[in-house]
Amino acid sequence: MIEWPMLVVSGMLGSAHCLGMCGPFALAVGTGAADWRTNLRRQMAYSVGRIFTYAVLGAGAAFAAARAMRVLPTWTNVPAALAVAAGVLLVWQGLAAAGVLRRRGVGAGAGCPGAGAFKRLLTARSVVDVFLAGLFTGLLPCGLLYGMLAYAASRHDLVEGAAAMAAFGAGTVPAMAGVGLGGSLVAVATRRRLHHAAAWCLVATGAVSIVRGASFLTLPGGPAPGCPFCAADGADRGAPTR
Amino acid sequence: MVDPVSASCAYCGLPVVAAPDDGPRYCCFGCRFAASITDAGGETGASRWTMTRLGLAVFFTMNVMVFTMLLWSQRDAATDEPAATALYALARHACLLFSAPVLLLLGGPLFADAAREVRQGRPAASVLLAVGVAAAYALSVHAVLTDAGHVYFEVGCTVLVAVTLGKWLEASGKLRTTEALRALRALLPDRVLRVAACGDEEVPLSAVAIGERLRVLPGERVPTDGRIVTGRSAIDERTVTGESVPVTKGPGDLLASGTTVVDGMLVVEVTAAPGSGTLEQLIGAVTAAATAGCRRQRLAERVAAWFLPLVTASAVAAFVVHGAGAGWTREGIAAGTLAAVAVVVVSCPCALGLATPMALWAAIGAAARRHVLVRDGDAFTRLAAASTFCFDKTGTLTTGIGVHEVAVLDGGLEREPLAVAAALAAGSTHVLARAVATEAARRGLDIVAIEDLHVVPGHGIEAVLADGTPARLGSDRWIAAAIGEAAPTVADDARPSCTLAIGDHAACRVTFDESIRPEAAAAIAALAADGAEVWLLSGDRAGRARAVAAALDIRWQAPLLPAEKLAFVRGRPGSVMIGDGINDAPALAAADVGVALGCGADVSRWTAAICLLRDDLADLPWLVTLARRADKTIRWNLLWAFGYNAACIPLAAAGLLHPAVAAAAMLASSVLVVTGSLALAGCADDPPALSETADVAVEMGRVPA
Repeated sequence: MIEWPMLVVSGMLGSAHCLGMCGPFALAVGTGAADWRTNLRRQMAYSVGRIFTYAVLGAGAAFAAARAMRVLPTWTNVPAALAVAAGVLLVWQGLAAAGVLRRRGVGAGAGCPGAGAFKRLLTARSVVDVFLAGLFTGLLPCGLLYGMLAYAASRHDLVEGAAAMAAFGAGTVPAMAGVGLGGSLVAVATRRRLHHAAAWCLVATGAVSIVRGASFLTLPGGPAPGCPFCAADGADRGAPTR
Repeated sequence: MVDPVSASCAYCGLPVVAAPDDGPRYCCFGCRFAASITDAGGETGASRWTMTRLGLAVFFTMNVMVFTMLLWSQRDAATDEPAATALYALARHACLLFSAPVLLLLGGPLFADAAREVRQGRPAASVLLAVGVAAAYALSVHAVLTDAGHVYFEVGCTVLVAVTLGKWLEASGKLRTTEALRALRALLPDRVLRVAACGDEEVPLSAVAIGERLRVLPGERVPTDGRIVTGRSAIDERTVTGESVPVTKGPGDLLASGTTVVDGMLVVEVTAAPGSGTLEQLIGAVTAAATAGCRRQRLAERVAAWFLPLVTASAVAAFVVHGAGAGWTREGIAAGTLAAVAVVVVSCPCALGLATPMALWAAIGAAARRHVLVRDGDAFTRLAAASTFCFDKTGTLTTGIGVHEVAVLDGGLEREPLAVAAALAAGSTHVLARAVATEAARRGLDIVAIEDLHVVPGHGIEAVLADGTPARLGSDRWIAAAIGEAAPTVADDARPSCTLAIGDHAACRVTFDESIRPEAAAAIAALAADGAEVWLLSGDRAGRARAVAAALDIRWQAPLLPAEKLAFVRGRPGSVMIGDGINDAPALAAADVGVALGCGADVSRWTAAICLLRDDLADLPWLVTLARRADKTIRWNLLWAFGYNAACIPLAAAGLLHPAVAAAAMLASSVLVVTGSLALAGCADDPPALSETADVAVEMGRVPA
């Protein structure tokens, strides 16, 4: 069961990588708070909103994968293929974050027509609105999230997919809440080191996923692949509910 | 009859096609919904609640989706274990529990819109959607209560959320396409200082009448057209003329609305009612062009008129075929309802309706931001396919016209001949006339009183002096003919000149210097590098035209009278005439696209479809690029709208598209059309070149053949 803690750690360290995008949101959530207790409550509501969306997306990805496994011809083991794809995505994300691969710049584009309304939710006084802002944040495009979703899909079980994404989301809470509460609790140099560690943690998670998928790839329609490092329970875990 | 200009959406400003009803008019359900969010300052409890409502609906829909997936998983597993059966029943009830708030939160606006359509006797998309959503909920509630049959709560929820979200995003996108024009309108102050007997009073601009006096402080915008009564100040006129250098104005001078008083305090007598000043006229002209649309828009509108009946018929047919096919059993009715709902949801009439107007508004707005005013949407789209560009010479390709020499021909005159020439020149905006007026002002000459002034296009100006003597200022040839003398022989490449005749005598001859506009070579190189045929059409002597054409490496024809220029452009389909707004009026009107420089701020005098207010030729290749991008966007949008609907509606009718997937497809289609058009709005800051090759040619100082 090597992936679960790694998912939390990926989220935890990966959030250092995501602070560039989501950090301003966490700060905006904090602006509506009178004291640190209120701020903490708002930060938690915001993170619960995000985690809820991640979990729903994880469930959806796992369900879609399970459906694909039933519908597609059994020329290969679909969950295993997904695990490999997820691993490749995670490794790519990790290497890009570590600076090994060069990332293509993204154009300014036309901007999001809904940005104004989103900002209004972020800074609203009501905790419900902040929760909803978190809910929508979870839908923002993010390469790391897609990698994790591909991983959740490879679980091909609704509950496991949701749980995997929730674990990842839970890992992002400390850094996000930290930024929202104190702005810069962690020094820039430390954050840079964390960022680097997170990148290699992603590469490791991806590598495990690739090995796990590849080891079962040649078993068409077989049972769901388990973790190669804990192969004893691998065949049972993740089997479709029947 | 609804006035096509004033009948615009109260939210986004796009034209409203529906008949007017009480209160603010909106072009779609999305604008009505978006207005409820942004109206009232955007920070009120009501607007925030609308946003919260949409967010909560999304949250509950996500829950419904999870439980629906659980149901589907259980169904796939096909197990009859007691625990699984209990979980199955629990998931059905959870779906009911979480979908009810979605109906309460988002159903209201949709059903209200449907009711409004029915009241107006025009049942449209909202009615179809409302019926579909109601059917999905009714079938599902019945299934849960009777514990038989499938539930379709996810259909109702996703349709409600996707339709609301999609329409709202469309409305926000439309708002942004009209942003440029609204920003111009917002330049004028809402409240002004009116000078009254008892002191200044602050009143709304709308309460000001012609003849009243206003005080305009340094840094403020002139609220409406007026004449300076007291005070002197530098005036920044770039808003209406594009001219970046401020001009100094004093008592008696006219001010245009929207210009900025830089450093003085002025008292201004109002000469135009608020709303009819120069800036408002410019905005009105552009808005009218965008509202009138273009030929592709009219095609889309004709198709859209048939679209709704077609979708309705497809939905009804899908319901009947699927229902009858299963012998009107519960499953058959459910399958028919799902197929009908999918047809209604997946059909995207907005893509058809939005494809052209949004792109056109965005492009025309982007042009306005760059001081390029488009008065005719059709001409703008024709610019995209233009193959021949015909330039006038004087004042268009050349600039910096100044008086070189004033040769007095009749020394016995009582009057200063240049003062008479300046009085006549004041009646024309021709560059030579302006040069004469400028020279007279530089020499400090008093303008002579004249009356009965009129312009003879292509020849000159005539008027009568105070003592009844006729006076003419114009081309040497025209003056010679008018006073009965033989036409003077001048060298073919001599400087441009004009002659003043007072009575039957030639009084003086003015010669001018002119130089090629600094940006002309680059602009022409960009057009030529793109494969366009570029011509110089001049009324000037052949030698002068040849010299300018050779410097720019383009073909030329000269001397041409206005009628000959007209014949030239008429004989070349796809031609663009670029010239002086007044002097070349006939050719500008006859060309496929007329582009005018020097049209000034007086809209009523424009004869060209497009005006480069900044008098900068570099705007021309930029405009051609913008027109091509807009045309491409419009074509892609329309192709997408037709293709998408043609592919998805049959799939949905065949029952191959789940309504939730259909809702997502509709949302994606709308977002695609909106973002494609929004990208055009950002073109105002692009560099003025057609292609990279043109840039290179210009950089190397080489003018392509």
